[in-house]
Amino acid sequence: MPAARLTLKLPSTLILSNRVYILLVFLIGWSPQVAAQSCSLTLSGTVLDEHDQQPMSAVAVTIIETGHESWTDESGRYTFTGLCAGQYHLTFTHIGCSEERRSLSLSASSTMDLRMEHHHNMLHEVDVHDVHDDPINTERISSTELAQSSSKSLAASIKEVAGISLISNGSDIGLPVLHGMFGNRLTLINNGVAHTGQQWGADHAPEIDPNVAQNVQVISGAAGLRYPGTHMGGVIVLEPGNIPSDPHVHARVKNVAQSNGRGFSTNASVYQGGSKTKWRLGTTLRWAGDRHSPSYYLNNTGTQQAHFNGQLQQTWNPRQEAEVYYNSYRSIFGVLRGSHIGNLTDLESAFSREVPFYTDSAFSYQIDAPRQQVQHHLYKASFTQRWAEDELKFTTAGQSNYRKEFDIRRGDRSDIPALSLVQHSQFIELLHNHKDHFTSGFQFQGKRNTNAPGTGIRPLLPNYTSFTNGAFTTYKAHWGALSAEAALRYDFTFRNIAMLSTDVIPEVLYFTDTYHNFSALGRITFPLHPKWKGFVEVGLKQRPPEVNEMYSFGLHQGVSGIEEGNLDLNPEQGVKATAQLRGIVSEHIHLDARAYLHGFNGYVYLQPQQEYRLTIRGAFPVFTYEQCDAVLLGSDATLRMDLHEHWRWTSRWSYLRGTNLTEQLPLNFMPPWNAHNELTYTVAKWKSLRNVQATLTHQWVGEQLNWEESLDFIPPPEGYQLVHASLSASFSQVKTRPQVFVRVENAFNTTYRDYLNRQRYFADAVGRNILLGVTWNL
Amino acid sequence: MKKIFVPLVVAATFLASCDPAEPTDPHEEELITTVTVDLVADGTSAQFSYVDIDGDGGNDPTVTADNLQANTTYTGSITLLNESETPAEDITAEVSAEAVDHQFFFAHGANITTTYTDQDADGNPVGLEFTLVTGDASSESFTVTLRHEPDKTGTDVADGDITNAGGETDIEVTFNFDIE
Repeated sequence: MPAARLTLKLPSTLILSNRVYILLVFLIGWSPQVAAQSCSLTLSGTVLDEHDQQPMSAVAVTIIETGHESWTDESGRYTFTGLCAGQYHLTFTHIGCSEERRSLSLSASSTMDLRMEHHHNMLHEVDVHDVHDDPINTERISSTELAQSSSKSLAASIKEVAGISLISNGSDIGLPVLHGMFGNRLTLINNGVAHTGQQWGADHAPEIDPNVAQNVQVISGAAGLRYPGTHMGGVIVLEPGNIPSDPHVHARVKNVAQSNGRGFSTNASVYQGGSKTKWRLGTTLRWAGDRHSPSYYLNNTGTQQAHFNGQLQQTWNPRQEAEVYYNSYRSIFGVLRGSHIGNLTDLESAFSREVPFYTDSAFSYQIDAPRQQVQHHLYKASFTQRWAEDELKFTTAGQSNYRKEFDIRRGDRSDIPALSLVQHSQFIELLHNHKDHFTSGFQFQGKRNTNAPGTGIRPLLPNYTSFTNGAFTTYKAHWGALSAEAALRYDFTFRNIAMLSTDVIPEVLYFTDTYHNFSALGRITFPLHPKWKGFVEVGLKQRPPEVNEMYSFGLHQGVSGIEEGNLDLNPEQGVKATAQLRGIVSEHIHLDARAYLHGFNGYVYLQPQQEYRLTIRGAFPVFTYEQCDAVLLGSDATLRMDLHEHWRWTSRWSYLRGTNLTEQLPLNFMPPWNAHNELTYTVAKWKSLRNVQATLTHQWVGEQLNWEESLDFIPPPEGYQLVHASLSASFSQVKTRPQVFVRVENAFNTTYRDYLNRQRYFADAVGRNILLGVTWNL
Repeated sequence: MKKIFVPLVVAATFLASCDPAEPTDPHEEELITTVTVDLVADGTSAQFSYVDIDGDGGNDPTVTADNLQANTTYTGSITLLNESETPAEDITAEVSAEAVDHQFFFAHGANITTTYTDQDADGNPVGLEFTLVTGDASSESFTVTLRHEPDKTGTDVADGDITNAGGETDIEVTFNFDIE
């Protein structure tokens, strides 16, 4: 009696499947459809452009549960017929837009309209916002582009914007440079909070996981006045993005494997939307071993990282909402073994090597000294209250930063950090918005920086506390198509310093600094033609000299030089004038060009001294912090041409020249000429594949010709050209809608050295790298 | 007085106070302040010494070197101390314990020859012990370099040629003297 046996077995199977079902619902919000009596329901709707309310055609609308797909027509309309009653998830995808996701409970024929974030003047990945939706001079990077950069450092993932470069030490330690500004002169805003860490070193990467940032905004003008920090007209704003409103639990998993360094990175996030409460949890794990230049392994250049973030948003009513956010970052970075050197003689002997010292023929995941171990924690809470025309937002945040740097030392001391810094900081902000015209606010930032005892080495930096109270106001007005903005800012900084004297038995010396700094901005946007817009902006920004610029004393092992602070430094002042032209040459050609002149009074820089300092370890170059008048003159442009329905060509150019006017010398660490040309072939639909995109990129970086022998140990490397290629697609018919990409970087395995990568003194840059990535949506 | 700078809204749990933590003397145990080269021959001896108690910067180092006798074979030995600590630390013992990771190199004119007389566990030279043979009378400059983690198997490194040694310089001091 087989039927009887079946009925006996069924219950246990059901129990098991119920468990699986509960587990699945818990994990991924998946629920099977209960067959309804009637399967003749219709779902239709219209998709409009968020900005101009125009209908959007060629948007793919997919019902995840059934796999049905409908494409919007010229009037932006889509229709599904023959649907059963039940719970459905819909995705809306359009090339160049972030995927939108909605859920609905269908019990009768319904309509669902959607407004999608889409920009007509979108320049491929880099989205240059129009003035009406963004008041300041910003550029954005889309989340699709960021998804492909999931396995890179934050700085490397945002260098695709015209005007952004990367100062690095190897492959993973990198800090962004915006129009020549980096470190103390560039501020990163992570989810509304000014990032605080050890920004002073050219080998200190910002402690932020690029996967937490779904939106990256680059503010290049002095327009960043609204943000606190010591930036001189350069702010990078990272936002975790909105949690989708879908009320079910969903997850997304991004995996990327890379051939060079045999690395792997995985990022998983789980989130749930809802009308009142939304939450998201995310984690990233990443590891890689020794990288490979075209001809040898770069010994000890691996990395190991583990990051975590959690976010909870609560809305009580349309007028009141709150958010709590936590983010932790932990990384270990290996530094090329052959780059660890003692005195000037060692440095010169390292330069003369074809292949660096300590090059090993075997691959290894091992990370020994020299290495950096960094931890960063961010805790944030904010509350927003809205009235008819006003909005008040209160934010408070705490950050803790732990940086340990390990050098090769004698007597089993390599496991004792040579540098161990602990920084705690507190941030408080109160913002007031009035009708989008008027914003003002107060910001407090307190920092406490301490050298953890036990290193057995005299610290380069003193212990200090620093408090800054800032207030700002911005105003903007429109007169027809003409608009203007003005901003004012005042910062009061108060610092207490406690440092050790250089005596054999050191004494503690105390210093107190106070600074009043003013900043101002004016900006006019005017139409030149219906299709062309111009911007003119002038901004003044001041910053106090940083603690490292005034008080550092000792050997900076990373640069093999003795650095001496200068107590006589005055605040640095910069005036930046920017002119920008943006428009449509013809229906298929878009141009965005910008030129800027950034003049400095009291530009702080490290000046190499004429005489070497003789020590028991031989001769060392001495660098002291000095001030000069300086000017940075630069330009960048992006040109996009739609060659054909499927073909697009994008070209980006950047030029920058920095001059020390006092000494009539070039400025160090300025990015050389560079250009980026990209040809993209896109098909919205091919068999069961969606958004198929093939890209061929040519990257050209020129030689830094604006250079003088006294500024550096060796001349800048020659220019280089690299070719990259990538292919990506998504499978919309599969329930988890995997998005897959293959990318080849440095396809021809070209040997080169990059001027802004400190590793260039010792070794070639990395060779060919093949990346394979899959993103699943659950 | 300082408190007025801290705004009223501060719930500064992170910043325990306005004053920075008191820095502590790091006791730089690794520091080498003193290099002494003792040279002994039949009936005569000489000493080279380089002393810089306060480390990099600060006061200038004190460098002294006795003159050497012409056409003499000296037995040389090197002593390293950290005299910034009390009592002084013996760095020679540290180098000796990690002999495989250390090697001394001597740079001098053709009128002097040096030969290593000690070995590490791998049978490679260290240079804490050596012989120095002088030629005819002349003015000389003698540089002692200590490399940490050199490539002892590099070409000619075992013979005292520093070119392919690599590593990191722990000591590089020069003594000027006459051969009489």
